[in-house]
Amino acid sequence: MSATAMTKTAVAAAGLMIVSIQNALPATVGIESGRFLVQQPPTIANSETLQTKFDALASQWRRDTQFSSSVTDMVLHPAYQQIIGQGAAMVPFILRELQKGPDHWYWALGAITQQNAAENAPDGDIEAICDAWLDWGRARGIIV
Amino acid sequence: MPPALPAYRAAFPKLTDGNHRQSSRYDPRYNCIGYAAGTKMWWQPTPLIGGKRYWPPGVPQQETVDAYVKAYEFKGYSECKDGSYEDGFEKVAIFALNGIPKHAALQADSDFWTSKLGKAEDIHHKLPDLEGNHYGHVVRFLKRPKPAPNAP
Repeated sequence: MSATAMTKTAVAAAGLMIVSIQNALPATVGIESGRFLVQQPPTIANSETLQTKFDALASQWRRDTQFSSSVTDMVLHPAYQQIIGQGAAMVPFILRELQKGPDHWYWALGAITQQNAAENAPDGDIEAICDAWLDWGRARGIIV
Repeated sequence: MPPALPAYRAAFPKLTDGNHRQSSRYDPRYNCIGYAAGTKMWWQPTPLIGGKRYWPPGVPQQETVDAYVKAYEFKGYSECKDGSYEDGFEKVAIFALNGIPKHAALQADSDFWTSKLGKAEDIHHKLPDLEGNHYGHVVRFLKRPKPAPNAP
């Protein structure tokens, strides 16, 4: 099988979600002069690995912190810290998780990107804060 | 096969089929502290990265029982000695674990209290049934006159 044919097979096997990540990400990620950029678009293989890793960590975090009323406790959870520690590569996964419904991902997004997309949201309005981050992601082509 | 019990039943083992009822679904948009104050906002004393919390103005931005008491005082509550039902008043109970506030419950009627369990469900329950490893114990009670039914 040629390299091109193998790539096409891998793309088909990976499914539309992984392909859409690649298509959505610009060429570079990181922080430069206060702007959030994508530096290394994930390959299909490492997107799958990162998705699996994110899903496992997010699931553990949700399970362990669901009865907590303190964001401080939530964001200090080791699984949440590991997601932040993965850096910019996790941003598309976090945003797609946020598309499923509001949750306390704004802290990770703010810590990773060094931006506050929700600065104009009303105080304590978690839905508005999450919507602001989704708008931020759409405006940068990270999610559709 | 009987339906699976909600996750909170494992976390709060004093709750049984007969001593509480669930009154909402999982909803991470508001927490117990805001819920007990009669709002659907996320109350948090310390600043958030990437988001904006609500905390009453002028109240110390600390995760201490005294700061939580002052937050409810801002909403018209004052400390009282216990959680006994008093006609014409509503009461809030603050739970703490190792001196750190972890939960607040609002008195619903003469028998039950209502709580938002973190990001999870709202339930009606007896007050001692949430005491334990997650929320610690009730450390303070506050009360205020019940607002008129049509008050803004």
